[in-house]
Amino acid sequence: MVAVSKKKKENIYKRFLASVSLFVIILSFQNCTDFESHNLGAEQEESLSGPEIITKGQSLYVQNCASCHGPIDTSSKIGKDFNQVSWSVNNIPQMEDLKSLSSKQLSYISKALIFQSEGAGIELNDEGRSQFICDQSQRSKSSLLKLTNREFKNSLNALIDSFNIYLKQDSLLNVFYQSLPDDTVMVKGHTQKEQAKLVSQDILVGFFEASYRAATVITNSNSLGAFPNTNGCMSNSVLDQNCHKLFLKELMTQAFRKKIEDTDVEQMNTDLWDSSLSKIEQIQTTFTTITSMPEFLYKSYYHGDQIYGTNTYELSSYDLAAKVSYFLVGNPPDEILRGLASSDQIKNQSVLEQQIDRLLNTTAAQETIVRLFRESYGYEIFEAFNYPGVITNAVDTNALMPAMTYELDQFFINQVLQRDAQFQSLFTSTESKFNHNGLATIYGVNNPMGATTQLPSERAGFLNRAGMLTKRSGLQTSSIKRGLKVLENVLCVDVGPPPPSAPTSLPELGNDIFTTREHTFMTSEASGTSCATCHSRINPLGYAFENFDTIGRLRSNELIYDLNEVEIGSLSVDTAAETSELNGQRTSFSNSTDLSSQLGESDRASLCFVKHLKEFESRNEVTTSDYCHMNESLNVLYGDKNTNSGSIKDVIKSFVLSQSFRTWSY
Amino acid sequence: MKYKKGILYCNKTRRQFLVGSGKSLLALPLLPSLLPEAALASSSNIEKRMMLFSFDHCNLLEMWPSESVATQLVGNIGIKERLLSQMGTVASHSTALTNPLYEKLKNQNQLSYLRGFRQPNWDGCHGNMSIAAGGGRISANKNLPSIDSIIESSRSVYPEGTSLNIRKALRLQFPGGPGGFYKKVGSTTQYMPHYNYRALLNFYNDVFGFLTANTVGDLSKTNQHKSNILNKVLDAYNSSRNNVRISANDKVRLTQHMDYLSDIQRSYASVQTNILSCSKPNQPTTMQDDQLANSRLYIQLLSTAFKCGLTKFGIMVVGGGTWIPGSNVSNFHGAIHGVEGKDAQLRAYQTWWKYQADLIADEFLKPLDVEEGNTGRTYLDNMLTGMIATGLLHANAANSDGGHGGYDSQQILIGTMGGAVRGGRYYNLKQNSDVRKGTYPYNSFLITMLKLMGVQPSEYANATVDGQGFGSYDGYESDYVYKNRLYQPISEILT
Repeated sequence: MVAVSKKKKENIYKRFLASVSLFVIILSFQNCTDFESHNLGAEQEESLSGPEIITKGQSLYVQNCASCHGPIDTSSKIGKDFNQVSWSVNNIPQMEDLKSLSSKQLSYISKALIFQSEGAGIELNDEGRSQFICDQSQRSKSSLLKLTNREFKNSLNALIDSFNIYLKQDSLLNVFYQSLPDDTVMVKGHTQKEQAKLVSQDILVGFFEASYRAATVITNSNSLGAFPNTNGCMSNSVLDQNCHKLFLKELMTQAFRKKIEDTDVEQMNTDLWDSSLSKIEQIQTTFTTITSMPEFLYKSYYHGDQIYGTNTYELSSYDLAAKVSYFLVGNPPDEILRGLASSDQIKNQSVLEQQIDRLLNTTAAQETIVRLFRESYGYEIFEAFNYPGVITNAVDTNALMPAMTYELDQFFINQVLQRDAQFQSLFTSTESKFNHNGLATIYGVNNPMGATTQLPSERAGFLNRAGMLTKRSGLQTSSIKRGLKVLENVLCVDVGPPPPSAPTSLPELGNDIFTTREHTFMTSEASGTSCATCHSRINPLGYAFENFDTIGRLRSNELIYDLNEVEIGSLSVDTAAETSELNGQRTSFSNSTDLSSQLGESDRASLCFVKHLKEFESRNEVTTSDYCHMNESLNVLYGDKNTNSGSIKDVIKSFVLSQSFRTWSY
Repeated sequence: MKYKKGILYCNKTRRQFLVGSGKSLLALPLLPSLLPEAALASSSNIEKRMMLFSFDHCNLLEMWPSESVATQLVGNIGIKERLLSQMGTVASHSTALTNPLYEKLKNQNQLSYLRGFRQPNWDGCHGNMSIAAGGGRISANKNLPSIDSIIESSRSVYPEGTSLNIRKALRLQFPGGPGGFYKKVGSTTQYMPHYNYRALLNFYNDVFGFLTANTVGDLSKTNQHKSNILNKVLDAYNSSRNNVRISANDKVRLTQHMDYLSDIQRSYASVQTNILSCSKPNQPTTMQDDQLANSRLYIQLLSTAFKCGLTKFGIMVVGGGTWIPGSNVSNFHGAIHGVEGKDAQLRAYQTWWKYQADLIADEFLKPLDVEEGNTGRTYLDNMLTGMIATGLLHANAANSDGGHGGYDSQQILIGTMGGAVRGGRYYNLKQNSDVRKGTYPYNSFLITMLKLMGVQPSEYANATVDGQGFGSYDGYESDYVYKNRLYQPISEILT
């Protein structure tokens, strides 16, 4: 191994830089100029609130920029930060006249441009923190949502449990569950989301066959008489219509999650009763029919009092119970919730709050938390997991990938449900729980064998865990992949896909030795191509993690390999960088724990989490009509002058207790 | 739109249903499940089913009639045939097929021999690798799908709406084989049956578990029951649909949902409505892990699964590498490879094949040798059963080293797939004495099997290197006699 001297490295670096155009050099290093000290005009001290700053910036843009760059909402300069705006004013001759603007005014313009890049809809609240612009006249639309595979299985099993809690263990039924077509879809390439609007013939066949099997299991059992509210009549040798109606009423109440009137039962009995069928056939027919109805397969809201205009309604007690239960535990309402729905007590705020606490203490809530955070941060998604032997020679890679995912599953469960942790703790906690020798090797600790443990400080927060650091296999880390994960999943910045012509791997630079960071920088940010636009936003966030090798081990030096996987050098890593992505201002960080900590404090990460939460519940992309609801949770997350920041559990609770959650609209 | 009901509890056969439907069937939405298969004319209305017993230690030509007995040219490429009825009793020319059932089948033109195949590069005649096991691949090197994998994924064989109770491919191995497995519809779970009681019970439960004990399980009735239930769902939806308060977009989605259900309902009503019925077999009661006894029970269940319509394809690897029942040879594997001399090799083969052929006749073929519904044919005749070997060992070949060979192999076919196979014949496909260049491509034999099952070329050819044919084509010389037949079925054996 050759230790490359710092001097040699600098020489190589300079040689490369000398080979690119002056223009590129200026672009690459524009941020090195101390623009803050470059007073371009008289300062006018103003004390403006967040929304006022945006308004002021928009106004300044109209007066000074729109004539060349067009309206702000379609401007090509959307997203430009203060340094970029200042550099342009100072260096582009056509912008000479704008030198009369003060730094403060340029700052306002950049804030308006960044505001626009985040999507119109963000404002600053009275305490200067970002929030969504809420228009109380807008109401979230409630789409018709199909049960996901997970919810379908839970719902069908809940019905089977009403006969006998052991029947759902039927092996063939579980084969049918396992055979359901996958209902998750990769969204924007970084998260795998359950789909509640995806309907296909294969899925419906799978649902139907599972229902039919469940009906067979039930009718083959000796538990028919145990079905509630039927007075045991189903155990009689003959099934008469009266018994069938009792069966129907209870089955429909549970399956449709509604208040079932006698007229509903009469109608359904007319549809389903067939005197030519045997008792077994009739029960099988009725059970399968009910569990194949849209009322069972969809979370739909048909009832409730109309409020807020023509198409907005307050959820009925039954609908509220169902919505709360599916959201928090992925299950239909249990007997307690059904009882509270029946008496309308569920609408009482304190009763509802107690039920939320109860549900969040169940094992089923853990599965919900796992899904919420997987769908938010995509930590279970691996592009590939194929490392050369020189990387894995000391690491037990057997079942390592699921172990990494398991660790983060447990991390979020522990943080949210057991620690009642605040949002920032997700980015700073060193708590961990796993049982895998390879993962222990990566972390440089003893295998905790499934016990909760504390990892070294460099592992603070979920971003510094192996599951987040291994998004691309191979010899070299990918600052781009790592940075993109932060930008898209943690900050909800959609940079869009690369152009079709973009290379899928970094171009070779010849025989000279560079770190991954240098290589990445020279071939993307400083390439003199359009790549720089996005990569200048993506890459710095990834550089922070350069103190972890490609499989997630801590390192201070990067080992350099040739194409034959032979080690040819070692260079020290650099994890310090700057970004404007955290708050619109140029912010520096020294390493990944520093970045992670700042992310935990950042409004944009908080906004992003609330957005994930809303999308997880609604199974829709958020729209401006969701903003009021989201702000309620956001404010709990932030806290205010008088209250501490709420825990994530508090955020979820506030989300459910919100009036917005309790209405529906179409 | 009001959803229309399908046929409720229709007891018509698929043929009757299709004929009776007449033009009205054409008015139904064109579903993949309703697309007509490019089926052989004589068997278009019969459920296509196939069972292959694959002998992993090949065949020995000394057990079968000489190739010279086939003298009648068929087709124009040199293939010759002779009616088995002109060759005396089966027992007189085969030491393996001495069970009386084979004589009966011969007399009914439901038995055929096919001699003279070649498979140059498919793992020798450990030929199970060409059709099953190996992770469903021909071999790790070739990484091509095997015939059972093709069939179970074929939409022509298993259209949309196929009941999840159907096992698309049942795979078993006889002790001594390299390992088989079976796979459920739509499931990626693989099972490796072993010969202990627990594995046997799992197999029983998974294949027959959905049938109700002590009653007649009628698959067509089950499908009709499902169709009837879906009709009720559609009816109930029609009567309540106006009560829903949802957006226009959601109404469109709900309509799409109900359209799918309507399609599924029609699929249940129309798919597999031929009369297939059976009594649920008794659960195996032996609590022993006796390999022989359990192998017999496996084959019985396999036969019942076909009779009940619970699968269309099965494969059993008949392993002979490490064990032989009733043999006095201590080193059976060595014996069949000729290390104990040619006489011992012949005895070993004769014992092995006869044992297996008797077992297959008694436990698999005999229960299926009864009329299937009112088709006028037996289950056996409506389907095709093969005792196949992708190669052979030459006991007397001058240059034989006793190793597995891929040349001049012989296959036994039973049944005619509803008249699609020209049965009752001895076919010699070997065109000249050059066993390498003059014997027929084994690929084409398997392509013929796929065609008989109704699998379309597009469903298997895309896996090959050049997008033609089936399997690996490594090793065929440029001057190979049957070069033009590499990608074709053997038309000479088909009606």
